[in-house]
This record gives sequence, C-alpha cells and structure tokens, in this order.
Amino acid sequence: MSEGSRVGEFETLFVTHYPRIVGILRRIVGDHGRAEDLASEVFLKLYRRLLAQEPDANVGGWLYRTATNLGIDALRATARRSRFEQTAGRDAGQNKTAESGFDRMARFEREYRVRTVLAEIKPAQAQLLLMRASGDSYKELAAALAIEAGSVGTLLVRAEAAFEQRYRDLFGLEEDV
Amino acid sequence: MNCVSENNLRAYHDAELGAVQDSEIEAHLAGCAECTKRLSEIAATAARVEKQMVSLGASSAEMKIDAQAALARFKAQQGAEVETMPSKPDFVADETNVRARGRRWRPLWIGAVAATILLCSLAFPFGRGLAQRLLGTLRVEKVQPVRLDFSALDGNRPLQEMLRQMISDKVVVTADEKPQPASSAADAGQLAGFSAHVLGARTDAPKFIVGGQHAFHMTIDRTRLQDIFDQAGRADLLLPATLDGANVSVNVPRSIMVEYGDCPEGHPAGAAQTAPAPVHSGAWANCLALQEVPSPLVNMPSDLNLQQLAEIGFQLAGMSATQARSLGQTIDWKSTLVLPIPRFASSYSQVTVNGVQGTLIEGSGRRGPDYVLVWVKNGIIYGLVGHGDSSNAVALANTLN
Repeated sequence: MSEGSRVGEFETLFVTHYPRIVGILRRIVGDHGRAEDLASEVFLKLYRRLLAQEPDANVGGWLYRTATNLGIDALRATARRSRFEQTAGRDAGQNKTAESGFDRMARFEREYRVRTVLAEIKPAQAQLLLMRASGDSYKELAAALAIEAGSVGTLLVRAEAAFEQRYRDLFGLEEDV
Repeated sequence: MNCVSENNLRAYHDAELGAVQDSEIEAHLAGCAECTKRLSEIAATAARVEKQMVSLGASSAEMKIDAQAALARFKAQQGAEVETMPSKPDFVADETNVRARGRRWRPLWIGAVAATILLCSLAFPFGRGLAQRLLGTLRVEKVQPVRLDFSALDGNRPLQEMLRQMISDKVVVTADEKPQPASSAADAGQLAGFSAHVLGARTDAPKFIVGGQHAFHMTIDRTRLQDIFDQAGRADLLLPATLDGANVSVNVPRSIMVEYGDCPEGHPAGAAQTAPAPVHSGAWANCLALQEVPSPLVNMPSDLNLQQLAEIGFQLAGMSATQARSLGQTIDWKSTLVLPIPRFASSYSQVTVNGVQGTLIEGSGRRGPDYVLVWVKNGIIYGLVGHGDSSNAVALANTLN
C-alpha cells in the first residue's frame, strides 16, 4: 500500500471512529478535553501502525481496546492523585450550566464513585464493563478484547460482581448497588 | 436439559443467543426454579451496574463531536510526525519504529544532535560578530552507552508542539537524499564515497543499500529553548543569555547497509518502512544487517561548553545534578557519540571488536532476542544488527573485511 493510500485510510478511520472513541474516553476520564487528548494518542498510535503496515483485520476493535486501555490507565493515575472531583467539576462546569447546584454535586459524587471503583477493579474487567456500556455486542467485545465469544457472558457476570463488591467495600450499601 | 450455564443465562438476558437456544433456555426455565432465580439475580446485577456506567456521561452522539474538525486539529498538532515519519533518514529511528517493526536501534544521530542542540548553552561573550565565532568540529571516534529515560517528557503535547514548531522555524535542511540500492560492494562504495565492508563469515550474497546524505543547519533561539525547558518542567535549568544567535550545522554523510539472509524489507534502518513484524519467535533468525556510516560532522562554536550542555541534557533525562556531573566528566564530548540505551534493552556490555572498544546491546522482546553491536573504527561507525543469539555477534563482526 502506498504512503498516500495509508494516509487516506487513516483519515477515513479517524472520521469514522473518532466520535465514539472520544465518547468512551469521556465516560472513563470524565473530562472532555482530556478525552480528546487521549483520543489523539490513540489515533497517533493507529497512524504509526498503518505506517508500519502491521496487519490487523479488526482496526475498530484495536481502536476501542487501545482507547479503553489508555483511559483506564489515566483513570488509575488520576485515582492515585484523588483528583476526580476537580476533574469532574471542571468539565461539568463547562457543559452543564443549566443543572442546579445540588444536582450537580450529586452527579459529581456518583461519577466519582463509579470511576473510583473502575480504577480499583482489574483493568480487563473495567474495560469489559465500559465497552459493554458503550453498546458493543458480545461478538464485538470478543473481537476487540481477544476473548472467546463463548465466555463473554461469564466474564461480564464476574466483572459486574467485582464492580459491586468493590463499590460496597468503598462506599457501603446503597439502594442502587 | 441440564441447568443453564451462567454464561448462557447472561447471554440470554442480553439477547445474544439465537432463537433456537432462546427457546431451549425458556423451556428449561419454565421448569427450573434455581435457574430462574439465578437469571433474576444476573439481570438485577446487570441493571444496577449498567445504571452506574450510564451515569458516567453522554454518548458521543449527544456530544455532537465534529470528527472532520478534530481531524484537522490532529493533523495540525501531529503534523511533524505525520509528515516526516516515512522519510526519516538512515540511522535515525524512534521507539515507534522499534515497537512497530520488532526492533530498530538508534545511534540516532539526528535525534542525538537535535537533543544536543536543544541543550546547548553556548558560552559566547555577548556581542561577538558571527565572523569571530570560530567553529569547532565534532567527529565521532567512540561510542558511550548511557541509560537515559525521557519518558517523563512523553505525552507532553505542548512541549512536542513547541519542539516541532521550533525545528520547523529554525532548522534549514540542505540535504535530504533518498536511499538507493546498489548492485555490489564496489557499486555501493562508489555511490557512498567510501569502501563497503562485508562480513567474511557470511557466504551468502548480501543486498546493498546506500543511505542518503542528510544535512541541516540552525540558528539557536535561546528564548524559545528556555521556554521549552520551562514546558518540560525544568525551569531550573537556565540557559545563558549569550546563547542567542549561535549557528550549528550537522552533516550526516551517505551510509551503506549490507543485509544478509531473510530480513524484513528495509531492516533495520533502511529506507523502505514496509515490513510487517515477524509473527513468531525466531523469525528472521538468519537476518543480519551491517550498517556503515562515516562519522557525521557537527560544527558549532569552538568555545561551546559541551560538558555543561550534556549535563543539562542528562538532568532533563532524569539524572540528579551530581549524577549528571560525574557522568559528564567521564566523556570526551568532542569525539564521543552518546548512545541512548533503549528502555526495552535488557542489557548492554563493553566488548572488543576489530581491536577497538564496542558496545553490545541486547534486547529480549516478545518476538525473541535481538541485538546490536556498535563500534567506531577509522572514522566509520558500524552497527551490526541481528535477531536471535547474540553470543557470536563479536565473532561475526571480527570477520569484517
């Protein structure tokens, strides 16, 4: 494949997948600007792969796997610095101006708790939950995460159990969890 | 029918099974209280977790992301790499290529020189005219491996953008030749301007590629350099004000690549960057590549305090001031090529090659071990790159003729 066609292929992939990649990263890190930065990293990695002509029959799966890996890494790093509130607050302040102060605080707290738990369970389980929540089918999950399609159900059940257990450990029993 | 597996209960709940399996499970559930209870638990847990996950925010559709605008921003931000990666000169690689192509090693002259230039604090008395700025010439006579870790600078987008912009503004490329194949050692020698050496131990016919000449010069902008240091979080490393306006030129002569065996195309530092990574351990085990490059020439003001600059560079790479000072004092900066040891390298050692000191760097990746042996003799820098066992690397290199 010529350099020009690789660039063309890259641009098509970028336009096709960028919104969803930013969406999933936004969910993970809670900050739109940070999500776009991470998405740029993901696509730079893709660009380099295309240049190196690394064969990959499932570019979409690779993109989502890479994005969630980067997002979870960022989440865990952020969790270590306990800065979820500031991050969430900055982003929400930009995008949710119509929300009441009380509602906003409640939402910050809810998002903070979910992200904290995601940062604490096994990255592979967090990745599975995030991608499933983004609407991926079992087939897509299996292809993207290189797992057996026949075991996705079991892995989801385990990941959800781990999520709930950790949530209870950290924040106690709630009506939702 | 036996009780339904947890996997199938969950898949049934998510409507991920076919109609036939759905019917079978429904028939079983009608008569099995235990499976019905388990399905109910699974569904309840899934709903609770899903609710939590959904609380994390809007979907991409709701955010109305403009992918075309994002692509334009991406190209602007990453322009330098996007535009220049395919035509990077020989002997220049980065970790992207290392990862992408198995292993590429980097004596990395352009990178090393660029770093040196960036770290320059030239000790000019302010006000000297350009004509008085006598140039000193650096010529490589030996190689010094140093473990450096610039990972703290990775992902610093503003810094990368500043570097890209400064290079684009200040660096004037005067030669950027493409590599070209040669039919024989004599042909390669004629094209490159020096005699090609081959490995006597290999009886198979090698391929010859002559790498192009690359040259550039730049005028140092002290203010912008200091801004870059600040952006890198090292505002404590102060460049002297007298640095401004100094000229530095770099000339990397044509090189020769001699490639034996079954190698990925363009391996390891050649022009064509089209090789897929090997798919199994031991692939390309008979591939051996010898790169020969006359010492690049770096001209810069003769009163440049290279040791001071290098110490700043080492500190930028994570060393303490004391460590940087003690290492800086051990190196003859006008004749030594500092070879940054890649992070993935498992070990390196000093060896004697063809009567001179060389450095053998070994890596061990998921696709098996690789090595590179680097030495300098009679003004030529040699790099022998192989896959597999490195124990005979020196013996192979000693058969150079």
